[in-house]
Amino acid sequence: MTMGHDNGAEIAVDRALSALRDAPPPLPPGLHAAVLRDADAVQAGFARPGRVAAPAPFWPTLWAALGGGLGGTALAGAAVAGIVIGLAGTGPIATLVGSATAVETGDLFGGYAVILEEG
Amino acid sequence: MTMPFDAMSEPDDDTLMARYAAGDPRVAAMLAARHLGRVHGLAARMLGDPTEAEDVAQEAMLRLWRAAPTWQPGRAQLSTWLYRVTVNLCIDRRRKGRRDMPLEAAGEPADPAPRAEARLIAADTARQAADALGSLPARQRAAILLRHVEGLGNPAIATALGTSTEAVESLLARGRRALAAALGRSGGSHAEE
Repeated sequence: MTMGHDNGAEIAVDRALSALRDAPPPLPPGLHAAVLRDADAVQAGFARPGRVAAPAPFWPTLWAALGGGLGGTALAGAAVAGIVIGLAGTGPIATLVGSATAVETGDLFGGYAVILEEG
Repeated sequence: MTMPFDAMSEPDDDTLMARYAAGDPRVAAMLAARHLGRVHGLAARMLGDPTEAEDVAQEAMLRLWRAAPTWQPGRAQLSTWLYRVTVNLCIDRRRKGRRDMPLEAAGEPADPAPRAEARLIAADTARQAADALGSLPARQRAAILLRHVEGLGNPAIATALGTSTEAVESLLARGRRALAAALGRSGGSHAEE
């Protein structure tokens, strides 16, 4: 069988590529260590898991937003004061409302007071 | 049945990237063992300069580490991504007017042949191949290396080179013709022996 020029060239190419495959360039002595040093340095720059990604807890965040211990004490004091004032204020208000009713009643039924009292 | 992690098959690259990004100190060595040799081999054959190949390989791996936090599993094969980075780094270096491929880029045959003559012939053929390869345009050389040395398919080569599969076929055809011509000029790479 006669081998054509193209066929011979193809064989030469295949043989050359096969030789390249069989002769991998040796890894330089320090390269692997240098690559791992780079890997460590880059990894050290990443955020550690749990430090940044973890969501902030609700109650401590709320407590801090209220001003911590001082703010919480002031808020509690204001709340208690509000309740005391509210409870203490019901008397005068009732008196006031009662007086107005009496005045109104007096004005409206002034001439029939005896009849109203007797039913 | 649950099995310990080490007893299962080797974790894939996406898993290793996620573990590296999460701070696992062990996986960088696994990724390097898996990919550094190929990255360096491609760089050495592309550039033909051991020192520059070492620089490129280290830079390519550095880019891999930096890409870990934003690595999207399943989007690209890590090896193909690394080939692409390596090829681009090599082409950038060649554009900066570095010297052509010297003989030592071929490396020594990995298989220690029992006969000294066979070993010498293999080394000579590899040197001629490296010389001939060095005369090719960078993208043709990259396509030839990825196809015939690294064993990638045309779609993966297209991804690595950032081009179409049709363009890869054209690069390979022209690359083989140019390689044949270069080998013919240099003595035929023992084709007729």
